[in-house]
Amino acid sequence: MLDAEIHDIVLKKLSVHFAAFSGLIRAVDGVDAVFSKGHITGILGESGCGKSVLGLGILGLLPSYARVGGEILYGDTNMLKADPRWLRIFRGRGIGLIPQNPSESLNSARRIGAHLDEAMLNLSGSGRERKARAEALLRSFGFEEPSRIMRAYPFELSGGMQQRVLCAIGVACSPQWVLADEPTKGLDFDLRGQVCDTLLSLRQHGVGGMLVITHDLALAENVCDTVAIMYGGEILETGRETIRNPRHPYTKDFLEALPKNGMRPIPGMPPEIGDKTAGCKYAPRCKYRKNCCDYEKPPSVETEGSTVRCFLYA
Amino acid sequence: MLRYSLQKILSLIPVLAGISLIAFLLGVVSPGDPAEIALSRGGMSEATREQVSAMRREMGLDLPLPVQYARWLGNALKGDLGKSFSTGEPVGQALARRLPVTLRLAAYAMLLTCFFGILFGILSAAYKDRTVDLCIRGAASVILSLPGFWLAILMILIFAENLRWLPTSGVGGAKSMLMPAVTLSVATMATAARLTRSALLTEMGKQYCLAANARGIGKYRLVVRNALPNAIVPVVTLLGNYFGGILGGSVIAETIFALPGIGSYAVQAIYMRDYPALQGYVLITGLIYVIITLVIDILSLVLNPKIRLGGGA
Repeated sequence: MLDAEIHDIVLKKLSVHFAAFSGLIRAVDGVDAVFSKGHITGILGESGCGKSVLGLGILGLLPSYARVGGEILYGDTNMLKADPRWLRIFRGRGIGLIPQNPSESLNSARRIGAHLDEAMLNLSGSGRERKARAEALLRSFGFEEPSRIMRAYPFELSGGMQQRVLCAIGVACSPQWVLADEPTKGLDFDLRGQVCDTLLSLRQHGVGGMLVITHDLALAENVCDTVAIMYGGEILETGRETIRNPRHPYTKDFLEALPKNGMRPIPGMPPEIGDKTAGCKYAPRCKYRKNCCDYEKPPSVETEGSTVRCFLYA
Repeated sequence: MLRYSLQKILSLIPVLAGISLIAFLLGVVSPGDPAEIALSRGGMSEATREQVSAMRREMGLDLPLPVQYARWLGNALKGDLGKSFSTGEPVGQALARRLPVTLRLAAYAMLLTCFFGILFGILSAAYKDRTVDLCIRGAASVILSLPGFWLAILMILIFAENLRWLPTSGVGGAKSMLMPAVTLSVATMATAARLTRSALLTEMGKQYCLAANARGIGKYRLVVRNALPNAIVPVVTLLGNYFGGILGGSVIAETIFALPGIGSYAVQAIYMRDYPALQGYVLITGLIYVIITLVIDILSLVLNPKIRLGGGA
């Protein structure tokens, strides 16, 4: 079963494809990555780049019709071939999810207490112990009257409160990892600040590693130790300095498109669904394009803990 | 919630008035003179003109219609629905004697439908596209395309004639209610199972179920504890309407299995042109239907905390 030691999450040639009428959709396309324990890793990318699908893959919650290839390793276990019982324990205790869209992620027919209780079922302990633990957990996330919150229904809470409740649920089993999927999506400025603080505070809950899937650059900059840039189902660049010192042409263009950096839009469109480019996915929009970019996948170049997939650095 | 219920109850008053008016008008617009029909006792004897006009005065048929309606309604509220043309028995008494039989039949049918309909729906959704699901879906399609009376006759052949497990007709214990209840419930059972399945699958595709799954829960918790409370609302509405529908649909089952319920009473009344009896039947089934609709409204309110607590629409 799940051992007590925290491991890195290692993706090897991970691909998630969906067969659609329009052709094969490569939502995640041959991703190699190591998400190290003890770090907060941000997975940054535009809508539709495959980052949420990647997250679901790590949780083992992809729909049954998804075609998954490659490996997701946690310690010695390949999660894609793991025993369903192992996966059940792994969810919650190995990796806790903080889902996107707080208002849609809580069951409107059930009380908050029932959500929290359910999240702790994999732990040993009586119902009363779970209740005490749930109240302590809510208090640690800034709720002053946890027993009142436990009795409340999700729609009786504000968006920020729902977000904090979901964080509490996500760490209820003291998971080794936390996966936060778009934690700031659709939240206003004040709430985003709260979410940043909450995510950083998760370390105090004994969380050993965190993945933050987002398109919010500010969040990535403030919270994450390492950032991985995703585009068209591939990870183009990872590193500690990615946002301050971008290397891949896409990351550079992406940052220049920000309002504070001159708001220069990237010409062209992101790769279409079902795109079968043999070479670099960004080549059609790239300023530094060479001939080989169209035909050949650029190699992954590693320097000082950062990697970039581009011929410029090969 | 109390205010909502009161509003619902108040809104039922015009509905009830409408039902009573229709039931009353049924007697007025129907062909033939009620006085003449009452005197002739189904064509056995012919009355003289004097006898008929005396009878008309006695029955109040010479009064203006609104006055007749007010009188009729006043009597109906006191439980006096007039006397049956064919038997001379007060309609209220006959209905009071027969209603328990129909209600018992309806209760058995309802129980079967709720239990098996929802159970099969849950199984079907939990094992989507697996053998269990395919069998349930296949059986549901077959059952939906079978006419109820045919199934009833088939069951009589098998279980009463050949195997001699169950009585063919009449009122006895639960045994005698089994076949009529099955006849009444199978079609709705299949519909309820299908609706439960599709409602559950819709709910299971929603974000909150994904989030629940990420908590490392088993299938039972996902389907029954998380998805079902949200999926059950349309099923409850369907079953409520069905319970009202049984009262009309019980005519077939009561006739085939010779059960002395209000359905077979209505059929006899139609044969005999027994308008007071029909009026009584329409009034009582209308009343029951309205009460059930009210109960269902309140029940779906209880099932939906968003409305219960006044948090939303």
